[in-house]
Amino acid sequence: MNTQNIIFNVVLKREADYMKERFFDNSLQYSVVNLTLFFLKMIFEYKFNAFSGIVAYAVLFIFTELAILFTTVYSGNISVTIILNTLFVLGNTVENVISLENTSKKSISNTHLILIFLVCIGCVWSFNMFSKSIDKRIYILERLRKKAKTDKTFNLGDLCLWVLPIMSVCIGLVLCIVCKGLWLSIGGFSIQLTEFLKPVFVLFHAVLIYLDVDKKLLYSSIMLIINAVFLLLLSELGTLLVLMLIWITFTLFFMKVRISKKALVMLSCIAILGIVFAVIVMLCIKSGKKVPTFAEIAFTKIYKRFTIFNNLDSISQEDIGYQASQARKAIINGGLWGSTEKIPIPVEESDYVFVSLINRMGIVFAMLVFVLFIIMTIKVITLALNFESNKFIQTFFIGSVLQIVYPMIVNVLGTTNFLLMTGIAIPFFSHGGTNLLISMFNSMIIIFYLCRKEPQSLKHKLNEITSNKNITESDYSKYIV
Amino acid sequence: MDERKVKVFSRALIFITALFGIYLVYYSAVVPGFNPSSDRIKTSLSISKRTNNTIEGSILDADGVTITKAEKPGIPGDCVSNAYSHLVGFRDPVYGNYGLRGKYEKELLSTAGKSNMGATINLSIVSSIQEAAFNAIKNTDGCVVVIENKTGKILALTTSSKTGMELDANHIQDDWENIKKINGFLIPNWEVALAPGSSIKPLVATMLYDKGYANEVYPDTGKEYVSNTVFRNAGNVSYGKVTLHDAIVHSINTYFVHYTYEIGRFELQNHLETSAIGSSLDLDFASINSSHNFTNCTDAEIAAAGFGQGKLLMTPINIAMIGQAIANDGEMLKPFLINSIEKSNGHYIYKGKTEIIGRICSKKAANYVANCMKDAADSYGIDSSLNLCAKTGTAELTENNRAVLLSFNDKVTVCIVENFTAKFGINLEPELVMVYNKINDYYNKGQ
Repeated sequence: MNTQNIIFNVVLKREADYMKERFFDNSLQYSVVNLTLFFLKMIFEYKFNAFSGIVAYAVLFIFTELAILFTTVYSGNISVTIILNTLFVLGNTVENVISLENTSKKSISNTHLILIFLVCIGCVWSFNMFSKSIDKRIYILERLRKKAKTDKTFNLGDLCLWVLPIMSVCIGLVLCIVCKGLWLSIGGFSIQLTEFLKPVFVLFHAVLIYLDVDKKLLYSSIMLIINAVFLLLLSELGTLLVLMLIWITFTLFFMKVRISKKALVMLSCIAILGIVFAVIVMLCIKSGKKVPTFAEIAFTKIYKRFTIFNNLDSISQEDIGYQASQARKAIINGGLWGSTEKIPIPVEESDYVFVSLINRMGIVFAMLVFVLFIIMTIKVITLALNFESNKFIQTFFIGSVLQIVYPMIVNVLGTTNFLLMTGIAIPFFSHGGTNLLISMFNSMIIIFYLCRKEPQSLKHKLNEITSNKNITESDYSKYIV
Repeated sequence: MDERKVKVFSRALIFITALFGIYLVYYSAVVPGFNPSSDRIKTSLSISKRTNNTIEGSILDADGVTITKAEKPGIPGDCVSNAYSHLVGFRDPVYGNYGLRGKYEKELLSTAGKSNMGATINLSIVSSIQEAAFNAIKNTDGCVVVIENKTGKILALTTSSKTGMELDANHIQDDWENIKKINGFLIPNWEVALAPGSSIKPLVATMLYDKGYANEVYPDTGKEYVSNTVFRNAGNVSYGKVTLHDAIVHSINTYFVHYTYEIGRFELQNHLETSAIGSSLDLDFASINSSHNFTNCTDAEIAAAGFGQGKLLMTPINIAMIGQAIANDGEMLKPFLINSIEKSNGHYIYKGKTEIIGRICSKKAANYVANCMKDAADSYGIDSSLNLCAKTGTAELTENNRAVLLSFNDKVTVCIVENFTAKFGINLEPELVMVYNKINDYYNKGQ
């Protein structure tokens, strides 16, 4: 190994060691903060009465500020951090308010909501303005990892390509056979296991793309089909739709697949056959004819949702579309600026939380929330360009934000009858512990990775080192940061 | 992933956001006229907002006794008894509107001046008679109609179900799942049109009288043939030589078949239609529909209509109206339930009044038939102290019978009906006596 390589390796190793420590600190601290937040919220929710929703909110707010403190000390992208924490605080406020209304039968006025929101934003902004002066530079270095037998990550990656699909199968089997539904009850808590399918799916693709294996599309499709089978059996169409959207995003933007004409024709034929099969099954369901059990389970719900989507104007109050028709009334009642008159909607705290938000705060405010999600996504995707050298980080980073934004889009478009309704939860806003846990985990990933920047200046330094054949051992020290 | 793909993805998201924003504006009726169905929902929501701030008006009986009275805005008042549930009905955002609350929603929630109290509906119903009628037909698929002869006021109107389940207007949400399971539970029996059976004979008799058949003797052999269809009397009895009077008292089917066939389709049709049978009759609480279907009937079916079978279908209210007309010297009145609707400031927005539908027969014919029915009542063994005129009817249905007992005195007409029963009309006599006792108490008190 020549001198340049030695220097290269020493510099890189030092940087890597340095970052490992910070990495550990960062992730540990943010994990602690988020988990503490999560458990506190759960305790308040289950132990105390409705009033403590406000107290829980106050505690959440304090700890959220601590989270912002840590992340801004260790740098990161301020705007994304603020948006994420705003959505987190706002979502929990909305969730607590709706719970308060439903339990104490007392309506909280729009003024209170606006005040809470402004106080929250005011504190966030003021603290972040203060912390702007702190040096935000963190240099991170990743070695480009090739397929090397001595490289531990390679072996781990190979293992992940097997373990992760098996994990999905196990989750699916537990849901279908043990739980016979979507929830697993442990010690008085209900865990929605389908929520774990999303991070597993994203992790699989991150490893797949990172390892740059051949036939990525094939393995990715197999993983999607495994999840699709179980989700169809469970009639959990919302999660399936989100996974499909994530799969399409990864396929189009990450995998650089080249599909031959033959494969394209075959895929098109399969897609058309699938659609024809679905239509035939739904027509049979409509006319009351018998269909295979799997098809009946999978398509009955889709057929009902189509019925609601097509016939919302003529649905009577006792029909299956009662939720959707009440949601429509709630949106109309909310108008642009919201209303203190509440339109009752079944399960408004989870599936129809966005519609409840429109009812109370109006379309303008609800669209601002929607736009916040979109802005955050665009910012994160743009920042992901910085991780071009490490596909694993890039994919996992983007996958985390897609796990937040796609369920939001699918839920919002479904509950407002823009698309077929699906019962998927909006991250942060919908009531549900498992959804909150996964959303917070994804937020942690996003905020953590925002602290990691591949500095162009260091790349330049590396290029200098490798191109300079005359560099001596004593010179390398000036390249150490 | 490169910058170009990031731009494509970002633009796709921005496009979806913009499209969704426009869609929300369209869907939410923020811009009037943009989406007509959303505009309609917006209008109904604003109406319901108003109703949530209004105290529903009370519903009172003929003597001012409370049937429903609301205390708080947006919450309907409790109905005092299940005897009124089908009449009063309910107004529910999930289960819809029914009964008077549904039909008179606007009036019950219309305020006057600064008051947030809705208008009061004063009914012609007499509580004591209503309760007696309700108790008389409990657990049967029955109905009681009580009409005041000289005014057309409905003094009692009840319905029941043989399932034993009663409609409780105060607990619709709790009972809805059970209500859904019973076919036709929310169709009160006073609106159900079935064959009237022999209860139609008094009406046909008035026609025969006016046509001059009163003294004509008919040789009854127990059978009458019309177009190869044989008609028999109940119990296959043969009465020998009979007149109109005998035919009414003994309810001789063959007599009525013979003379109905002789008089012909058009005369009978004309007579029925004069008596508000064969069309929809809009009353102040519901529309009732009866039909004769003579355009699609054979001669045998028309002849059968003469004794209340064939394709002739009538509601209990139609049957009661026949009795009222005969008791009122041949003048048929339009029944009404609502005496008045009064706003909280004392201003009347509606007053019920006696309305003549028409003269169904001459006064002589009416008196003649009334006397025959008096003799019929005596032959049934009905308590003579009640001084009633009565006619039973037992119509054959696809499943069991429809038992009818039509009766009147100088003041009121009472029609008791029981559908899909093994009973005969005469078996309703105890219920009739129960109702008349209350009626007599009411009139004797001079209320």
